[in-house]
Amino acid sequence: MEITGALPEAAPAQRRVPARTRLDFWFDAALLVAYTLAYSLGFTGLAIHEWLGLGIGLALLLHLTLHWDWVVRTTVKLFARGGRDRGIWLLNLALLVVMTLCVLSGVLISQVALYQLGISVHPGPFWINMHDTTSKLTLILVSVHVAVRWRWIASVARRLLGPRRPGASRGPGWSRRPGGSRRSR
Amino acid sequence: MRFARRLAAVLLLVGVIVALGLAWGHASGAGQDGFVFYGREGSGPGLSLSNSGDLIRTVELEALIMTVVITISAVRLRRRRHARRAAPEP
Repeated sequence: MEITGALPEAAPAQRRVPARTRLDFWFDAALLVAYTLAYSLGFTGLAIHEWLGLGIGLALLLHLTLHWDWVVRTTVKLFARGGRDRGIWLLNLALLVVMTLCVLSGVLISQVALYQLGISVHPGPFWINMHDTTSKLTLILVSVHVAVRWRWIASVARRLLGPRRPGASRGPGWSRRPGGSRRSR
Repeated sequence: MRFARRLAAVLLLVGVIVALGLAWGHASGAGQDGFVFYGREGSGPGLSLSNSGDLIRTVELEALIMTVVITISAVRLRRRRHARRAAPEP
């Protein structure tokens, strides 16, 4: 899926953010909010926690698919000559593994979502401990994952949410994506 | 088509992690009896949007970690810029 959204020069400043960048920004923001809610089990209750968790699992597949070109590019660079994104690559790999195990163990210890789907599971303490440990790790890794891209987030947020300045220039890095590459449009 | 190819690659990668996780659980004697399909009935434990303190604590933890990472990143960025300015012109 390749989304092209370059808009005319005369459009307001907010509209100048490419459609793909806007999709990344809002989708990832929604994912962060959903994750924060899902982590707060005492706030949501078990049913919302489990359904949100399943939804996050599916959304993560889409998130990873949308950024797959970054994964491939960074991996190739990593093996070629040790790219500068090595730390972020390792962080993201750890997050992928931990988040997958968190969702998997969450499914296996599910009491509501699978019950509503007509499936019953009988988990042992291993999966309960796994879910407890991986959920704590994801809180750290998700926060770091977001924070390491703070410049991209600040840049896009300024453009999307800042005051309208018709005719304003895009400035440096206007189309810089989380992967750190500029898209040529 | 490209999206489908990428999604397939992602599913394969996630599938490998899931398989390894299940193998780990099996090797550890996780006591998983497997899935039992019994048909849909009832809704199980209900909803409770009650304990906002839990949500606030999560947001605080995230904010704390992000603040630490952003501060370190900003300091490193500033140092790099200073070093670049201080470097003699070629």
